[in-house]
Amino acid sequence: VRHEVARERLVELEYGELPPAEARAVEEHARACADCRAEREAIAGTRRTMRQLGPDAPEPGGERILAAAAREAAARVRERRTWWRMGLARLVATAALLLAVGGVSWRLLAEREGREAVREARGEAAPAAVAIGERAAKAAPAAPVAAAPPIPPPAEPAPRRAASRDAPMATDAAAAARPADGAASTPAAGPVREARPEALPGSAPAPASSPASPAPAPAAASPAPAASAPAAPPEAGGATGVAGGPPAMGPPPARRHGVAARSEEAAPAKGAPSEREAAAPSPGRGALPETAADVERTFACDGGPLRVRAWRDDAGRVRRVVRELWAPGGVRTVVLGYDGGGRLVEARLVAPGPGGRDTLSEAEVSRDPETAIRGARCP
Amino acid sequence: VLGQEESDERLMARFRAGDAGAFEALVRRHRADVFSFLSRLLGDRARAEDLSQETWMKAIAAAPRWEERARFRTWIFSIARNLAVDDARRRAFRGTAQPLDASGRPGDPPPDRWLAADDPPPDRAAAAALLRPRLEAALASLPEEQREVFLLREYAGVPFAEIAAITGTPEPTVKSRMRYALAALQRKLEALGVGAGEAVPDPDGRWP
Repeated sequence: VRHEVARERLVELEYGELPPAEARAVEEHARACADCRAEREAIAGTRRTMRQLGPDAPEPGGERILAAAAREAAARVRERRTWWRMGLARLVATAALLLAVGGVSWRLLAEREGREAVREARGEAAPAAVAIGERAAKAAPAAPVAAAPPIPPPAEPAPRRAASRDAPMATDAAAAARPADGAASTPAAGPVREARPEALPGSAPAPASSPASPAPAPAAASPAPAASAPAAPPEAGGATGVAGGPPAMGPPPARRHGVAARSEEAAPAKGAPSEREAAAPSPGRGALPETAADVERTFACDGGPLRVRAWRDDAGRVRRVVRELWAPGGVRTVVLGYDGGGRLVEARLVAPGPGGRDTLSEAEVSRDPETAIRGARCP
Repeated sequence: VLGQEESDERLMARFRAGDAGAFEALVRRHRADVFSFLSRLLGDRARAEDLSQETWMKAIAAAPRWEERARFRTWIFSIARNLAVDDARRRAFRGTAQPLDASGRPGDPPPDRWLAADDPPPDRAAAAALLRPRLEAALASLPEEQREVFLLREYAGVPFAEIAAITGTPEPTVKSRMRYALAALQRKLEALGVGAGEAVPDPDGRWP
């Protein structure tokens, strides 16, 4: 170690702040160097002298103030810690709740998806017509004749319905939905044939119609006969028998599934008027019919309150929609039907209401069933 | 139960956890040293009393920000030192005193308030009683910047590197000041008739 460097390091050596190796080197130099030895001794002597100066005693009493301040601060610390712990506990509880909710939601979602998958599978296997028919058969006995059944019976001949199914827009539908059974059946026969292949898949597996109708007929395409067959044997038998008949033929009385369903009380009534009365709320009655619709909503329209009711099949698909505009002098009733694929297959004006048009407007006919029940437009 | 062997840092950690007794133990342990440091640094007992209390109050308030790695003693002395510097600056601004940092010019006449250099040398018996004021006088004769370093290193036990950090001075400069301080003290003690190695027990001294 050079002398100058060693001499500079003597203070650090005396205060023990040199690394061991450097300390040894400086010490070694200091032993050999008289100047450094003297300097080191001077430093050590001064330190010895100065260290005889003990600490001054501050005024007593200050400690008490400091102790009080410390206690206050410590209390605040404990308080903060308590708050923090409470906050943490709350946070944990919230997180747990969120997790639980999330888990349940996920679970429900998964289950729902599973159910929907099952439904889809079932829906493809079971014909929609059967599903609707069953519902009708179930609901009908429970409901008195005065009350409208969930699914109003078709009041028109099959060809007409087929026509409306094919062309649900206002003009065609209006023609098809003309309440009075007129001569419109013949012109409608054309469209019916075209409609057949589309309507077939839904009705083909129907137990009642398949044996009876080797050739697809408009009547077979309608879900009604399939449903009526098990519900009302005498008339349904007639219905199935006629189902295979020529499309242009006049509608046999029992072809109306509504009739079949209500056969006990309204059996002899084959005419359109009685059916219409049963299907739709009687305009003059004033009370809303008590039926178990799956969906029931009321909208405010200019002509009066619009009640929209809908019935779903087992798969939850809307199959039948009844729109009733409760105008002051009576009720305008429109019935819409949808197949399992959500396609509009039926649009009928059951009752025009007081002074109402006897044709359907576009607003009254929704191609999509969910639209029909959600944002039903005023007629 | 606070044992004497419990480290300052452990006590500080306990205080931060809400144990007021731990801080009281720290006060008992270091209050006199902090006060002495301030008193000798400022040469003013009354100011030292105030600043000493302020130092500890500040330590209470700053305890949440204290890092456990930091030596408590270095930390508390740095608080005290900075308070002293700020106070000196405030006083300088008001024109009541020289700023602490500016008053340490080499060659300034030392404020020998306790003992004049030309006092007659006391006899051996009186030396013990008079040693303390003479040592104080020797300290007071040091320029502020050297006194600060010497007080922190010799009495507070703060290493040079940490003194450099506390004072915002390069470490070599701190060491230089220490060398100057030791040399100046040696000369002053000789001038005051205190021989090197003169060992007279201080009545209330805790330093061996």
